[in-house]
Amino acid sequence: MGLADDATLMRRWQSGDVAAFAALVERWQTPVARFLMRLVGPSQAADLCQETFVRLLRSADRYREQGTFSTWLFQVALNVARDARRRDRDQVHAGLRPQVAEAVDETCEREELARTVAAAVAELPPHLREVLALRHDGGMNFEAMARMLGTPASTLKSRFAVAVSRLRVRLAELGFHAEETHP
Amino acid sequence: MTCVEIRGLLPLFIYDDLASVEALAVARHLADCPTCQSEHAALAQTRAALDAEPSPIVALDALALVRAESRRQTTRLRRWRRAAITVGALAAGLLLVLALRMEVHAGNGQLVVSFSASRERQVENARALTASGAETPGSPSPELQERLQLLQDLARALAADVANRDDRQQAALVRLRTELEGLQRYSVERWRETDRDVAALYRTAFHHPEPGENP
Repeated sequence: MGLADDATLMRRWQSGDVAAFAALVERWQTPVARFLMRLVGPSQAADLCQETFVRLLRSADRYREQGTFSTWLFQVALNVARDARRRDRDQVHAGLRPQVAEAVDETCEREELARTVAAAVAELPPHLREVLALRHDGGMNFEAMARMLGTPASTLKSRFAVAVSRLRVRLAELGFHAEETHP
Repeated sequence: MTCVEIRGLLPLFIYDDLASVEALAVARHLADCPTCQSEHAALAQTRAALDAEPSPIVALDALALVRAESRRQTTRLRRWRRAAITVGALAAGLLLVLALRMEVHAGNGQLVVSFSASRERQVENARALTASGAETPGSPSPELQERLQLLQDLARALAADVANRDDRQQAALVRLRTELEGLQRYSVERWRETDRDVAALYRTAFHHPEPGENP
């Protein structure tokens, strides 16, 4: 028997099947955490991931199969990230600032690369970071994103192109070289 | 397409987000443009760098989340129930006060609470309290009394003004009514005259006198 799809699991959870909810958590916790890491930094990602699933629990009754489950889930995660940003904007910002100088002590090249990338992403303004995270980590297409954010797909495509280009420039400035990406 | 246009499309190209016509144009351009090829490579590496970032480690306990949420909802429900009972009790108390016509009077160092008091009794109570109020330590100060007097005078003046206006309006109404009655009388008179004239004309035009009758 194959794995149940998200909508089926959600229907089962709506009718009280806790195992279905557990399966959804198991399936989506890492993508959601990764998406949140991109938006608020790695230190808060795990906590906000939990908050996302708690909100999912609370709003399960409101879920309708009009779009895909993942779109709905990422919408919830995005709201959680926005709320967190509002809550402690300064702290989050400070936590995400580039720390290239401190990274000198790191021996692991991969960790250093991850730190550089995180710092470069953190420098993007929130509206660019959101589009980047939704497309790159959420795997969402621009039409779905447009419905979710209430912004034209063409605008989102432009934002995405700007985000990726800025990231490329910033990574180069932070000393990132093309060959470093290969583990 | 120019190199600038192509570079604007490259981020979407590396994510396969271009329409097929645009994607074909970009691919053709890349085949012949070393500068754009290098930009394309850099962007592809940027994408790879994003992928290289490790995911945060999360291991959520779904059952614990469900249990915690269930507890939270139970507590919330209990709190709402408590609030509803309190509000209900207050409403019931208020209704009781209204139903029993409870009267509370304070003054002269005493608090009088009476139920279903008659109108006369209430007036007596009020009078007693007013009469005794002057001697009580809590009676108004001269300054306050002066202000009250001022307010009273103002209220009297306003009342007199209202009465004056009312009188003037009444007089205007009486005048209008008289004029109306005069007009009514005049129109009735005119109507009678017209009636007489019409009758006379009719008689003149259509009435043939009988033999022996004066024309």
